[in-house]
Amino acid sequence: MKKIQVLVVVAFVVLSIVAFSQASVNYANVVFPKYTGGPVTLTVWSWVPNIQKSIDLFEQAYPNIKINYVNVGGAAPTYSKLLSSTTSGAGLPDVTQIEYTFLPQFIDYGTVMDISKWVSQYKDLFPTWAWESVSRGNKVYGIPQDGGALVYFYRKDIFDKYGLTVPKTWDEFAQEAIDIHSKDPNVYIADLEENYFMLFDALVWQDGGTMFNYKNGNYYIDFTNPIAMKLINFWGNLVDKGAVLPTFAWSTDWYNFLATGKIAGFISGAWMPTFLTSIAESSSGSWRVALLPQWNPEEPQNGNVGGSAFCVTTQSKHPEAAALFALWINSESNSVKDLYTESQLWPVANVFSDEINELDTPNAFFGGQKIMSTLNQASQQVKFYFGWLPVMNYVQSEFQTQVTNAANKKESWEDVLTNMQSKVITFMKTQGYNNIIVGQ
Amino acid sequence: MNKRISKAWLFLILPLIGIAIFTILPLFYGVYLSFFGQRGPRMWYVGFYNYITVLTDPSFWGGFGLPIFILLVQVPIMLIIAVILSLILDSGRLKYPSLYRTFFFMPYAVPTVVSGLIWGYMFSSALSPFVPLLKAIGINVNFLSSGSLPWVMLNIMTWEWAGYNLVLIYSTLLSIPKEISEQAKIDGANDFQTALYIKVPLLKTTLLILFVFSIIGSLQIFNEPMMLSGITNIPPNFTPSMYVYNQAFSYGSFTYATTSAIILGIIIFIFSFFFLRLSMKQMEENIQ
Repeated sequence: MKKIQVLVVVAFVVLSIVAFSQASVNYANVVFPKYTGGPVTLTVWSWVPNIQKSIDLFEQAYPNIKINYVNVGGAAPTYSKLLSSTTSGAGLPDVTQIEYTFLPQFIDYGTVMDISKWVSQYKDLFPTWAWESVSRGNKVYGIPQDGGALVYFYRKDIFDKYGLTVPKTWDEFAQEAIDIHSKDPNVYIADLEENYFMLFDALVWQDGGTMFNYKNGNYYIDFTNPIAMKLINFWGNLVDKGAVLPTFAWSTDWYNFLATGKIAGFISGAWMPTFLTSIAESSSGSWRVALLPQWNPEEPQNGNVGGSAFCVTTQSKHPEAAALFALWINSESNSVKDLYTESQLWPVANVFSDEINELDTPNAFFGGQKIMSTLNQASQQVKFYFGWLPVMNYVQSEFQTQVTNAANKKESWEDVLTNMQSKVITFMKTQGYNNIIVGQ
Repeated sequence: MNKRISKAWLFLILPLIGIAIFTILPLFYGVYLSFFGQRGPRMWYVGFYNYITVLTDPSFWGGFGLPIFILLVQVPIMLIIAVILSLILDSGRLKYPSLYRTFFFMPYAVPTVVSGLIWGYMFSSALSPFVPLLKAIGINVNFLSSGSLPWVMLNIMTWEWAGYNLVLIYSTLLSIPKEISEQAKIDGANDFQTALYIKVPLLKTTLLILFVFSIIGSLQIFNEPMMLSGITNIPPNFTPSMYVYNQAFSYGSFTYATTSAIILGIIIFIFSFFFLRLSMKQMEENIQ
């Protein structure tokens, strides 16, 4: 009897150790592939600021690979150059930064290559939705770098002044927006950014909906789905009531509204804190970060706005080294730390969640709040993924036109989505896409 | 004679090569491209499909709304202002007419990109000096809302071009022989009547030519709305040139944009040809 008991205990202990060690993957101790090729220099196009520290770490780990980092000047100029270099057949870098939303377009152009044979075994280093953002089936077209989970930024002093609390549900939110408008018509707790389709899309994402998708080689287009309609009506209603301010984001006026407190609360991505710090310097200390209100507080969800991947181009002469660089710099624990502290990105690599506790210090701009835990919680709430259309510039532009019309009462809010549905489909057809399916 | 001609060719050859390479060749290449559909690096032959699409696109024609407004409202207002100011300059009653001339002409020296930008800020909610002044007397206005954009453009264009038109009108006035106005004075006309009944009719030809310039200019308006688009919401087809630009650089539809540019060019050519014929006829009548 005693011997069996001992055996059971030992077995139990052994099994627990095995189970426990499998349950907690140590993202900080990943074994990255070795590079066995000769010395190479890789050209990297990216607009991430202050990334030199991460690059230095990489060059130390891979002495045979040197990095020539070129900042082409932002997303739009980079995409322009990528297109012309793809067309002319020469001039592409080895690695380029491309936002998730534009990756399908460049996959379609033939700018980026499938690097699955070097990186697919590392997919667990990233959240599922991020890995799916850069993949099509088994093909992997880039390594996810950063994300922008939605969070709510607000002025605590103004909230206190009007007796507002941070709303937990969207119904509470609507009520508070209307209340504050009646108390002070010059203060808003949210804005509708007419020129930022991606933000609206993230709000639909937060409710579990998507207006388009890519499955099995076909593009699905469904702007008029019930969730999107509900969201456009929700926000449109508040705009009509004067409770939400329609704005042109990233314009002088918008910066001014944030700085003066006319916009006392707004929704943006996890990358926003650095920008807000310089935009609203005068109100430093009064801002706070909170999770978004939920449609269903029992099952919180979130959407994502912004974020890019590092991709290897089809013209690269050293695709293996390039793939290694993209993988390492975006998932190695110290490199990821530097991406946050130096470049102010919100890395999506799973190792970053483990580093939050060490990096999370009271943030003076946010009145001493330790914002990273809130941002991390928001990121963990992003649940699923969908494929973007290869014509996002057109979608953004059309959204801007339609929403401005609706805000000026020239059309109904539902028309915004109905019009976008027909116009986007027509545009894609003239671009020669014949793999369009209307619906989910 | 031959020596002169060959000398002329020597001077002309370089600019002609320049025009051939940078204007004529791209024009032909553009016409060639307009027969192709395009997506990213791929092109395929589509015949006249692009032309039909442009001509049946309500967005394209919608873009002509602003140039027509400018032509029918801004240009007359601007020309009237320019005529009145140049008549005052020519009346001989000002102490330092050259000083005024310089002031009026100065806005023309400012690049349109800069004036678009600065005026945009002057009309923006945050930086406008007018907004707080109007607020003080109880008027809350958003200059850059979509309804007021044409009037904002009217303001900017008048500020930019009135001086230029004024200088051209004034030089026409200077070429009017002094005897005519002196004769009128002797006949008992005051300055006002001289201006209205003698000088203004003699400006007809100049005004017609300036109108033709304005047609070409207004159909090509681009810089100012482009600068405004960074500050406020400007529809992508606010002017025909913006439509062409956005098709190319926002949507990446380069061949389609080329087609619309060609069609725009043809429209401008037809308009200016028609009005130039008109002004030629007018000049012939004047001579007779």
